[in-house]
Amino acid sequence: MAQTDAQTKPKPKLWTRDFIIGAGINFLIMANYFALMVITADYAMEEYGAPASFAGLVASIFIVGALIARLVGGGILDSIGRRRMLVIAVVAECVMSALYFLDLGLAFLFVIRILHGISYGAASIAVSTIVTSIIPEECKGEGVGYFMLSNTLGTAIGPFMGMAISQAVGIRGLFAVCLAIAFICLASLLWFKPPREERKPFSGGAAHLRDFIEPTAIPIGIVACLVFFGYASILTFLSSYAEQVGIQTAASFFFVAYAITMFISRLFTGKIFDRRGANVVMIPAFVLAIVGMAAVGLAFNGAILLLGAALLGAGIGTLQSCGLTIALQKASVRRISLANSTYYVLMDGGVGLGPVLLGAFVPLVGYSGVYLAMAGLIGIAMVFYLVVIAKGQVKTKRA
Amino acid sequence: MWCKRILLAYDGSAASKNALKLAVDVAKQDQDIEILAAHILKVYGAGAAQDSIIRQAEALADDLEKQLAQVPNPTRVELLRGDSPADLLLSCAADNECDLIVMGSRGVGGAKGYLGSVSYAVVQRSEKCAVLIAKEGMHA
Repeated sequence: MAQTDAQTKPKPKLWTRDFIIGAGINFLIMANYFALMVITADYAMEEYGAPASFAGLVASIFIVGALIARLVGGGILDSIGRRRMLVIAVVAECVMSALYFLDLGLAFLFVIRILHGISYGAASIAVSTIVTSIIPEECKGEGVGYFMLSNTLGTAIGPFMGMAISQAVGIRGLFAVCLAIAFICLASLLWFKPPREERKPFSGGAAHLRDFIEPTAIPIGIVACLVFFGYASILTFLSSYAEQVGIQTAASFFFVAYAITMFISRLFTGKIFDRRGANVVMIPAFVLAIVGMAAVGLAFNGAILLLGAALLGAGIGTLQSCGLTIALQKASVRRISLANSTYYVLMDGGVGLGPVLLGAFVPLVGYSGVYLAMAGLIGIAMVFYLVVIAKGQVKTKRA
Repeated sequence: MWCKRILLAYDGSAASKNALKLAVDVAKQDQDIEILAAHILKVYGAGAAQDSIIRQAEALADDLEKQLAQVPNPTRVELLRGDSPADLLLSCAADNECDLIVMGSRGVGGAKGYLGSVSYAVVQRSEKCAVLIAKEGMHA
């Protein structure tokens, strides 16, 4: 019997040199971002005597920079060239990582943080676009899944690295490690040679607000904004809080526990969502996040802190991914990209604003009070979801 | 005619291209038969990678629309957004009262035959739809 094309065609390879390097760069820049994020507010308060609210701003302004890069970078990526943008962004990462060593005051640190956020955002969008485009069609799902794992690992290892290294060898030791990471990314680009994509001329900016925002994504985006407002309080102030309570060792494992339960929950919540509707996963996720945040606020030992981390990982992880699914499902076919970016703008807006506003309350109610208030805020987000969104998410039984 | 609406599951793989040909051949029997072509846009979560996945899915949907424009039957392209391709396809078939699902036996999901597991799940769990599976190596 003659062999068919399917039998003679060689199996496409997923684990190519470019895929491994691209996923590695993605992991490293995420780890760099999170390592610095968790200690920056503490650094600003201790080194420069910044009040908690401004220290929070110095930490979270990074997210604003990353958001600017994503919004602008997405539009010019194919006119500049994807690899070119990645090289420029990684060089900028190296420069920014080196500038942290310069002790030139709080305003200088603030500026570095914005610029570092922009370079991170540009690198992230460039490497993600390149890697997802080089994955063979036959193993796209598997390949993207592994690539997203590099995100998850970065969010787990980065904060652990940030807290563990700064506790062990001080903040400058951490700056040195982050600089080394940036240089490793730069060096690896010597071997990163993905196929050139077709360059497209820049088509010009949008004229109307509707070209930037998808209105159907706003309600669920508001939910994400409120939830991540709370998440940002952990990202920014956990280090200082842990020092206050005397649970620094447990705190360095916080995001590892968070990432583990987030990863585990994502293995089945998506399927339940598709089969039984959003409310079946969203409402328990809200409850887990509320209880987790309260546990963090009331933690008097490491075990309770890590329990809070595990509950938050499952809760917030589910709210983020299922919330995004709701946002994308509500948009018409031609406006899915806009729904995606609207959701992220609101979510990242919560992460960016949270530390600034919450920092002002730290002197009044303490870190514990802030976390308990955030548990309440997630409760408000749940009520908003139930009143505004939940009715439209009931899955009708199949005929 | 027993079949009024066909759900075609399409992901750009060789098998799903054969599925497209089969769906069009079945629809030739009656020009009133509608072809609803569905591509799965998997939602992975946070990150710039999701932006890229969405753009690729939109490009594939555009390409699918161009291919279906040649077909005399009424056609529609839909991007099904979620996590589980089998559940999304079955829900879509039920919501749109499809009579036949046409899909490839292997897709772009993974080296272990991810869409192989999807087509298996659809065959097992489809309650009211007939399911036609196109093989990668067939001469359609």
